[in-house]
Amino acid sequence: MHIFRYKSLLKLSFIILLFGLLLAGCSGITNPNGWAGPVVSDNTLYAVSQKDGELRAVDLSKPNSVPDNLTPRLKEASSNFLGCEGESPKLVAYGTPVVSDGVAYIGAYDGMIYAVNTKTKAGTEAWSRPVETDGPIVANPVIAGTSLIVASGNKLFAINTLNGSFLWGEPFKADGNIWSNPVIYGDKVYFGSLGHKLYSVKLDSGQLYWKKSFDGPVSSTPLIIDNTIYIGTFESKFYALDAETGDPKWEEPFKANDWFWTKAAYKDGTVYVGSLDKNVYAIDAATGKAKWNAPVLTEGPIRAAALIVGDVLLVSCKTNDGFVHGIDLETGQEKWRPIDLGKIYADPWVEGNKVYYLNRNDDIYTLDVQKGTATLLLSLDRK
Amino acid sequence: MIELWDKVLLEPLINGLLVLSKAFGGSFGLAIITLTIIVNLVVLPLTLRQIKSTKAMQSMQPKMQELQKKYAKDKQKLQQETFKLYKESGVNPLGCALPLVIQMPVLIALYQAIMQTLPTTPEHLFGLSQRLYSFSFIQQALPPESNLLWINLAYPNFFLVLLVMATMWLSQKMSAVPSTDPKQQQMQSMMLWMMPLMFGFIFLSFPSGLSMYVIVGNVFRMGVQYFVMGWGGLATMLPAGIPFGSGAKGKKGGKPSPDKDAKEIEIAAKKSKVTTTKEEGAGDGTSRNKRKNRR
Repeated sequence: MHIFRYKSLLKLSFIILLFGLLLAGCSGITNPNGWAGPVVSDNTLYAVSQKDGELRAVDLSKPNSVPDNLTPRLKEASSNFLGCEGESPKLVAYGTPVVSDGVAYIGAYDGMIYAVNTKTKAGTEAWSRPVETDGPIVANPVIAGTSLIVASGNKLFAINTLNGSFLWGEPFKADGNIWSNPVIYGDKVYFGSLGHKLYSVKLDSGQLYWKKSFDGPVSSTPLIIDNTIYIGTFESKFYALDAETGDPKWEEPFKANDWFWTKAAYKDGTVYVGSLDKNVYAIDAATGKAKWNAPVLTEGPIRAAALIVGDVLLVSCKTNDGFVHGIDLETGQEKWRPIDLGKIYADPWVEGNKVYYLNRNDDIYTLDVQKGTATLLLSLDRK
Repeated sequence: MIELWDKVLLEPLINGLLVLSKAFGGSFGLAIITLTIIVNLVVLPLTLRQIKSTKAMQSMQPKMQELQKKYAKDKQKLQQETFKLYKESGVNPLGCALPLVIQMPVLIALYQAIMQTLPTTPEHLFGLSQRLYSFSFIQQALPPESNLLWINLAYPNFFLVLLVMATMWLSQKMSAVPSTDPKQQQMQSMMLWMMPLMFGFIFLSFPSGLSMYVIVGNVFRMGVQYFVMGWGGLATMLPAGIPFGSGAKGKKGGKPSPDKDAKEIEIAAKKSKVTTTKEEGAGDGTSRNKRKNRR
């Protein structure tokens, strides 16, 4: 009798425990939200909502108006047990959309590339149908002439922007998934992969030009200045490499205390980069040595790209709040008190003298870089 | 409290999984199997205690039933006598549950570690980055190779779910406490089927790395159980000639050994320095009779 009670109790507690774990599984462990940054084109701001998964467009001359919903017809989400993923499909994008000639190109996590006509208010598709690729798209799409370069899963595709057809005979296949934003420099495309590689691929044919191996995944975006690639890796090292050969330019890489997952910024012979160790580093582009006396410590890991506006370095970090720091390029001193803009994963966008930030709550802020003040421009979920 | 959990249990397991994955050439599947075995070896003393307690409780069943019959109308007396029987036999009724409760946090942490070390989204990987030690060989292990044979451990797999259900059923059947009460028998058999079905249903939406962990854990536990108390409830399903008892020294014939069980109770009673009572003698006899009936 007693044994039976104990066993029943144990089994009951096990069942309760499992349901608890299951609920934990449904509440965000498996569901991606995306962190695509905003983009401004023709005085209109486009952004993918991180909460609702919708493509919104706002006329910046009328920021108080309700944003247009340009969300294209999405691929049906595959239904999963207990409705974890069986909800209505949602546009999840990590890469900032690219807008060109009135069309917004979005690489989505469902593996689809959507081309949305921005001239209409209903989000009509510019191609006859979205292009389906092999795996989730995390990196930004990038345009070179009429080629749209998109990384999907572990493959790199070139797509004709006019009709959505594939341009290369075969997509380029990398070791590991490509989460690093491809960068076009000259007639090559440069990007890193989670398979510990950095690639240089010919833009016209999709053939490998060179590849370089590292000891950790490469998810940050290459910064290419004067034929030198500046890139950080998950082995917490930052490299300067010859864009033509892939050979290292510094005696030894610059070392941080945690991963590099962001794009660096460059000005006047200095490279500025944030790390997940919460620090911002200034590195001499010629030697790879630290330039400031000490790195600038922020409140949280830095994932979003660093930006230089005038003589101010802008860095946003991810904490429970999210702070934007304005740092003096020369001294490494804070220009103004860090501004709390909420959680920021997305890369900011600079247009003229304005910087746009999109936070996790779908609020868009503009930053006055000189004064160090931020203004809430709009909320994407405004109906 | 959450920080303590993360620092003491979760983070060592996550980093351990990555180190093992690196050691196995990046195979996360082999890392899960190895870490599950290591963790189960660490909590083995508790598992053994639990199994031994279960075994002792099994041996006491005939006496318990006799007491239940004898004091069917006097529940207070029944409780007193039951407690006395526990004391005389040197059995702690919590002995079955307590070790399981103690090892539960470790197993839950292992579950969380497996979920977090197989990042399927960038947010996931970002979260993982905050839990890693700064040794370079750990960063080198990223991202772990999630494929084991044809199975992607980051996504559910029906074949592994079937194995979860099968091993769970076998493990439960093996450790089932025999009962002559039809009501209890009915409920036990219901649980025997319900638990694997429920787990199977739930695991259809979990990464199959987790299924792998449950399968290895179940097989490990069955192995331990076999060496401690033989095939247990599975004995009746085995053909004659398969050893029933503990390991290779066990008896053949696919049937339990009542004499041995009774003997162990006697030893336990002697250890607790309690004089053997008439009731115990009667209990032994009843025990044999009950076993005969079951045969």
